[in-house]
Amino acid sequence: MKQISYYIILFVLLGIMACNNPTNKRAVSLNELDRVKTEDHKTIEQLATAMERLTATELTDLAGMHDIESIQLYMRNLSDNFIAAKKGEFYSTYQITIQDTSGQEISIPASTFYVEINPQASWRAAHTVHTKKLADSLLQEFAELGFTFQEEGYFLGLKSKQYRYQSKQFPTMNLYVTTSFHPWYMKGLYEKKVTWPCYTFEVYKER
Amino acid sequence: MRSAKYFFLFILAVAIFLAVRYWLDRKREAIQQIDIVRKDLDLGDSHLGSWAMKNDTTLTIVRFRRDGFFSCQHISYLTKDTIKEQGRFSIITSYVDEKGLHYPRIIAISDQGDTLFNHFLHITRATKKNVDILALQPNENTESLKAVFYRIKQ
Repeated sequence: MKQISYYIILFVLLGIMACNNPTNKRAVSLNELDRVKTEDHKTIEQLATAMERLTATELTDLAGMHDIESIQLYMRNLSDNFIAAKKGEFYSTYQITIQDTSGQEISIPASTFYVEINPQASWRAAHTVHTKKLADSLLQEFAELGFTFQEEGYFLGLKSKQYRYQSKQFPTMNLYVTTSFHPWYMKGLYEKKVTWPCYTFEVYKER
Repeated sequence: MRSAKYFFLFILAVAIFLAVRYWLDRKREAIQQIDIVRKDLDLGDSHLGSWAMKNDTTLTIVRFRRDGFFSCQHISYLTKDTIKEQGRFSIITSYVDEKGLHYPRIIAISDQGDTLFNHFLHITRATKKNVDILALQPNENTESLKAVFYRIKQ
């Protein structure tokens, strides 16, 4: 008798489990749709930005480092979004498709962070983003950190004109921004002919 | 030997449970006019059910049924107009070749002969809530514009 009641309980439980509609647990009502969509878009934008490029704060942190070992250690913490290729070359894991100057679609990482490892060369560390939208949002982040335009010129020996920015919050730091087809000389992604505009951000701390 | 017997009985009980649940789900779908998609048992049917895409001016609700029929309702808030369509759809399953994984493709043709959907589809989950998302893309480029539908309650 006791065994029969166990079976009845078991079958009732199975019946309840079977009758519950599992699909509605992963659905939203029409009234809630707007709210869920807005929350989702906000989160996706934040996540996409983290994957596409470095932030202004990360670049100012990196500017304080003057050797490749410290930079590698720092970039290891960002390894979900930036992977190390060769020594001194880091790529965003987020691939984007852009049109180059001939109108051809090419798929490349959204951004790179390259560091000069040749001991004879003067120190250089540049973060290059590959769309104007990313460049504008990064420049906006620097503006929020107080960086304002100071002057323009050919400061770092590059062929393109650079714009220098400074912030009172970071008095010993200089930000150089340039749009160029030669963000780096013969290295990694830029080894062959670069046919798309690159937006290069370089932050240096005065020693 | 005894443990093997219990293991066999356990497997048998699970199989019976799944079979009964499957049978009940299909019966309920027919009676209640709903689509039941189980998360714990992937039957390749996760695209089924009701989905909605909404913006400031329009609301599109589409329901893909297990029997291969679909219904679509397009409401325009500006013109106060509602267009209803129904027809049949089929799925071309995903495959892998030397270029990598290709998403499955959905082709939905209305009774009037219009192709309403001919898109690659993939199903994800909303980031904040446990809500299914059906993304329809004209091509497999991840950066291209996609129509994003959220699963709605039935």
